[in-house]
Amino acid sequence: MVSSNQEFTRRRLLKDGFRNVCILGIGGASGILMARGQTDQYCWQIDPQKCIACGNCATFCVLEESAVKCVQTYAMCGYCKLCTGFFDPAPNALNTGAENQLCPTGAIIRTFVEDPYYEYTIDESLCIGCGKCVKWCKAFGNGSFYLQVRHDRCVNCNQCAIAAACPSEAFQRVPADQPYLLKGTNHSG
Amino acid sequence: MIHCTRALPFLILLVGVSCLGQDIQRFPPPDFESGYEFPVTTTPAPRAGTLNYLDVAVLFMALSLASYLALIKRSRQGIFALTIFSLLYFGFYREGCVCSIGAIQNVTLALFDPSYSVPFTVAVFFFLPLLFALFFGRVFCAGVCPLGAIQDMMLIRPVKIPHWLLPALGLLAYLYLGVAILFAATGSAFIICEYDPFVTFFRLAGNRNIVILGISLLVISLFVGRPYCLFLCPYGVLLHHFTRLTQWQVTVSPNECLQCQLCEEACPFGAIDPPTPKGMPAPNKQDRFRLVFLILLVPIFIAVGGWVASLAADSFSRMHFTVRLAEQIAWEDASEVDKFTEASQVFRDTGQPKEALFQEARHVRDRFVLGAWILGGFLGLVIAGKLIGLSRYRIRSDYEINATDCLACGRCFSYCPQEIKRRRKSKSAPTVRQEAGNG
Amino acid sequence: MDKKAKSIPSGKLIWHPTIEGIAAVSGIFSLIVAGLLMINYVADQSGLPEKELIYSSQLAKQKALLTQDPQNEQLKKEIRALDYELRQDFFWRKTFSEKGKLLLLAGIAVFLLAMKKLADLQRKPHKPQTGSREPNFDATKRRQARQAVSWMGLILTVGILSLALAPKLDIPALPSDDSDASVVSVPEYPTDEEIQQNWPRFRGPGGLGISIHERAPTSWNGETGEGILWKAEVHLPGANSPIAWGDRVFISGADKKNKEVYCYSLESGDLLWRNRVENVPGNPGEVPSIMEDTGYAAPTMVCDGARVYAIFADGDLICFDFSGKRIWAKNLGAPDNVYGYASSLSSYRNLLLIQYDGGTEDDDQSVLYALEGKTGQVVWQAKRPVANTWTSPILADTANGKQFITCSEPWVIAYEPETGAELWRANLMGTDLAPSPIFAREMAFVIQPNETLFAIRCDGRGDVTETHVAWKKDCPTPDISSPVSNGEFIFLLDGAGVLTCYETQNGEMVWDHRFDDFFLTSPSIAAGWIYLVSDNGKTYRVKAAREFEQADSISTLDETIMASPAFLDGRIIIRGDKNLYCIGSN
Repeated sequence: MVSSNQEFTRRRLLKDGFRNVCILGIGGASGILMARGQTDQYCWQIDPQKCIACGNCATFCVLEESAVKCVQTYAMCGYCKLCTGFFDPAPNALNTGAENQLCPTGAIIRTFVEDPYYEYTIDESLCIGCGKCVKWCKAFGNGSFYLQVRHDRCVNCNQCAIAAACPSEAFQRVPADQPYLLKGTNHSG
Repeated sequence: MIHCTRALPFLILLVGVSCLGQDIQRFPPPDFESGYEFPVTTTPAPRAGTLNYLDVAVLFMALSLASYLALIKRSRQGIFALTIFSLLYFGFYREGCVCSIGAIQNVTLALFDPSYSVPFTVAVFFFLPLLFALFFGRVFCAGVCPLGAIQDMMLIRPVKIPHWLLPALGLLAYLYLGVAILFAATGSAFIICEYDPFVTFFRLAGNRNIVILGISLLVISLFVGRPYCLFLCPYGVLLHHFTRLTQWQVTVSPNECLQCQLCEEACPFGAIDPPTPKGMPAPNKQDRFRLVFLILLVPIFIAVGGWVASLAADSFSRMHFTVRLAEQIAWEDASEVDKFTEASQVFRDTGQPKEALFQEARHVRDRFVLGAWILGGFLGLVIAGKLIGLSRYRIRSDYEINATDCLACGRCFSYCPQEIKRRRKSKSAPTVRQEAGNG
Repeated sequence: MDKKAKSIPSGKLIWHPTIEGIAAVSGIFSLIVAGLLMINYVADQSGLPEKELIYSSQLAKQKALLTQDPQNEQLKKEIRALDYELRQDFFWRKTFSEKGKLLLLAGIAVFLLAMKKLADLQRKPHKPQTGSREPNFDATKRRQARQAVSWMGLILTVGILSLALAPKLDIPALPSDDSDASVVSVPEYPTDEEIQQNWPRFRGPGGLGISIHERAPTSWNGETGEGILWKAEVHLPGANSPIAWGDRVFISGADKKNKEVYCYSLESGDLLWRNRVENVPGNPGEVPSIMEDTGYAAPTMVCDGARVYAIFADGDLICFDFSGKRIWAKNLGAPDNVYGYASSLSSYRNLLLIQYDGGTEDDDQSVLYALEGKTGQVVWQAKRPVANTWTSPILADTANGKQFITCSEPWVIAYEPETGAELWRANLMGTDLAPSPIFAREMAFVIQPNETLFAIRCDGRGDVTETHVAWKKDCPTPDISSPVSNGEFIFLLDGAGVLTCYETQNGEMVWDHRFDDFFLTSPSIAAGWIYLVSDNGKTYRVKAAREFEQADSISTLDETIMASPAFLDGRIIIRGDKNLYCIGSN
């Protein structure tokens, strides 16, 4: 009985020792990790310079409605009457008729500003992030349409499903205090 | 903008030109005469950083409450209520992301990639449940983990899985953990998150295959207690081992065990071990020989495991983007495939030297070879460890909870007559009658 | 049922059928909703090509018809109607799916709770076996478990082995380990010609402030935009000068909290990428206290043709590739420099060279590092018996090979850049050194501010203080700007605006001229003219010749300029405190 008691105490001591080692380990490890970390949080964003508007953003997002939407940098836009991001490659006429539009959901709003300029705005509730307009705007226009992760919709998955499927490695983790990679507006004469 | 109209046929001819590369300011922004001003591109902010501290606070509170309910209050109903809360908060409100299980990968990546640092919340989610396990056992599994919660909700008709099958099936979790760490350390993918079967329910959306996987697991959960937790959860492996050192643990009986055998079938997770039968023969020569033999065999297990896994290193390395891309480019160059993929097209358009890509891919592959050796060795060690553990001779005099497997759900409490007696003493009778069923 | 009823208290009898009813109703409800969702999903996905969420072959057909018959108004109407219908369907299905899922969730929740309650109510107590277990019970269980584990181990082994059956990874070997000589090897570093075409570091190739290009813009005006190709915002301050390689321009910027590196397109001025410098291993975590004028990003970056490197006031050193991918980063330890670390980076072949001087001449703090550009590993390092400084080293192409020349208090030291071996040293310098050395006519020129200009012949070995100083000239030398030389003459520009021309041969003064401005930048020579950029944005041009000749046009930019411009073929990049300018003509 005595010996078994002794053994019991010894095991207990051993266990306590190991536990303290573990606590120190956890403390140390988290301390090291924290000390290194200066970023509070990350979130996902698309580098518009790398994006090729392949269409994966529309289909791979874990949300029913993709968190990726098209955005417009107005200061870069040419306000063209014939917008290659808005019109079908061979439009019947330059009006907003369905037969002329490129966007499958009709999410681009075309408004007349002054002759011959038109403003193009994205209706985010309709945009599905397929990037069709982005592709054509980049190829033949100024590239003022481009895709961005909209952070009011994104749930910030630890592993973004679109990032895993992105063919051009355009998705990257960015610090949450600078969550957008907007195209510049720095064009003078 | 007349030039647009006239240029159109020409533009159409150009279709198929790569659209990679910099933007070209083809049409300068107009100088408006009507006083039009450029609208600003909106940038809705992500979830506020301060709310992350709320998550941490809720985690801490939930863990503390789970510990209290399981160890002191001994209330299954309380734990069940907490489970529902956690399911709603961490599951449906936080949509499954930040989670301790996935945090394994962030911590791993931070250890191997100096340019990545673990966000504070993620670090806390990784370490705090482990810390609690050192004192109170797996209370995280009991009432905090939303993945456990959703399965726990489903468990209606528990079917007894043979006890002897559990350690074997449990090996899958070690495999999952090892592979997840390998892929996270090499920067290939976060597979725990990518293949999280339940997160699709929390978000009410997701990849079809994952939804099917999740539904199958939930259907299994109707009959088998928490299949993901028992057989797959990589974080469970860590909690299991940390709980070996736990200071306090859940017990079936608040007092002395009466050996009434009533709790024998209470645990749907197979964590209650019956007392060893009277007259159990002491280990004979063969048993002792087996134990010594297995211990001596440990290095062989590790070596064989490492070797076997290293053979599969090439397959593992294909999880890495660079390796896939390099292989695709090599195939294309050798005309083994007809079509360029989008990724290879992008790479070719950037005009970066292939040699650099190949070199990097080979470098990644080399890391995978090393990683695969370690992974295989680890799995060999785990199998050897399980066999050794199963060859040891132990005497239990009472019905005991195996703390390392116990998920602290509290189902067994109401099976114990001692517990019923305790409640009758401290509480009013109706609760007791209800809890006791028709016993 | 009767039997059961007897043993169940009466309260439960009432509840039992109710709960059964709830379970049945919610179960059926959930099944119906699930079925509808399934139908909706199938309808949504059927016949869609890859990556399309909305697609109708009918619509495509009609659109094709319209191109053949563009005037068909009827067809247009049909297309519009069909398109409207399709979009309506799409969004209706989306809404249905979202709402349906919530209903399903609620239905299942109710069903589960009811079923759980039922299961509780129907739970029969476990009937313990009578009699004790047979003695071998445990041993049998353990044997079975061992067998199961063994089998599982076997299954895992077979599973992993089946992965090994996949074809081996087939990535072509590197040219270097390929004996086939026809394969062109990729050079690890750019040639001298490539470096001359670009502006890879502070003061351009070698650090001498000389552009080889024949074409250079002659006038521009920041107010009218004349002669300015583009301007781009500079996001964070920095005294560092722009560098350029190929179609890219790089600068760095930092304030007390943030450090960033920027890459701009040379063609359009677009910010191609902008990367934060953070989580650098070894960062001391505290911001050094420095002089405000120096700033936190004083040293100019360097580019080796494949990667760019930047260093900051806290000793953070970082490497990016052209696409902005971080390659490596490390901290060299907080520099001990009262005004703030300011020596610019250099590159030689595959090496990144860092003159990391700090402290005093005898406290062993000053080191010259040579790091492998690709990895950041130290290739060689040399301890330097010098005090902290603000000069930048240069790479001189002497008759006897390349020399890496550094200038600090008290030693001017030249090294062999491959190995770090010291070639010669001269004890000439005093305190507060900012102008960097230059090299011309096989001589290194170093400046003691406000005192002396020294010319040192570079063919010596060991201590050359007494033997190789070709000439020295006591004169009002500049305190910040570095000199520039076209070989025949050396030009000194002091902060108060006096430009002086000396013969390189013997130090004879040729001419001097006073400009009515202050200067913080260093002069450069491009297309035969010296470009002088004043701190208020004016650029003067003076012929690099024996006779003083100033160009008529004075170009202006309306901001403070501290950084020396970068000269490219027909273009100049100038960094102001607010904007980065590309000067040139289309």
